[in-house]
Amino acid sequence: MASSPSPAVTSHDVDSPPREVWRTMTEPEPFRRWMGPGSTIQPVPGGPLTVSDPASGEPKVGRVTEVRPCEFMSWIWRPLGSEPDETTSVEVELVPIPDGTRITVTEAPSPVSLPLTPTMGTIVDSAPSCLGTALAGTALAGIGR
Amino acid sequence: MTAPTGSGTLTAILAAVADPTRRTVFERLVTVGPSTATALSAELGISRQAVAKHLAQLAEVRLAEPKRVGRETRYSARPDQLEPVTDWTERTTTLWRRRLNRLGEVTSGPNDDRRGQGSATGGRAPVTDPGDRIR
Repeated sequence: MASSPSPAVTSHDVDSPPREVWRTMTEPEPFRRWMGPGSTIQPVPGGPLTVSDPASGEPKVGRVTEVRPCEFMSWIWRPLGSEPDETTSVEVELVPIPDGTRITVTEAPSPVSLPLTPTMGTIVDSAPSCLGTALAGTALAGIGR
Repeated sequence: MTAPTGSGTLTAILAAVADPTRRTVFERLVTVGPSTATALSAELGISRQAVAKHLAQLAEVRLAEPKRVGRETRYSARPDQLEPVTDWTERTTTLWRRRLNRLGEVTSGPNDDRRGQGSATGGRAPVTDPGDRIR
């Protein structure tokens, strides 16, 4: 049992192309169906995220940190009402495979804490699509403790 | 509810073993038993000063336990201290498996004509959604 701990990495193959998976991750209605009623995401760097997260039964708030349409999105989040040092980072990577998409998620305790009162999410109409979007970027600025 | 230990502790433990040299020092302590900075320095071919620093950092997150023996400090590994991290990792992986299953279902689901503003079918009941419930 001398194995060293590592971030939690989970992979899952789906039979839809990355652009379809991306839509579910970024458009209001499919996002709600994925992450639970009331969930919202503003899929741009710095955009707020709120999820009811039926998988854990533990609602979370967070902030998007990086967006590369159809390829990659990362955010930091923590359970609603938890301490900032419970913030974890999540990276979702989409890789096309012959029959669909391999989704790999890496979650790890985050060195950057989410502030105590993060803003609640709002629904945006214009999620970055896969085609010719130049919205990619990183925005960790302003998220520091 | 959440991780048994605050994520701050998890972060510190993960950071402590993220460094390859520090991990080597830790694993050496686990496999060969208690040792000193001097002995580890000779065995691993790293300066004593560097080893001492790594040991101090491991001790800080309680992955190593120092004990004064004469004028040397002996360190023993505490691999049991990794347990909160292992538990957290397992739980997190399980949750993501559920979320990713759901992501696949929603993406390839039947009422899937979502162009922009969702399924403009008016009714919002998930009637035809096969695996809608996640426990």
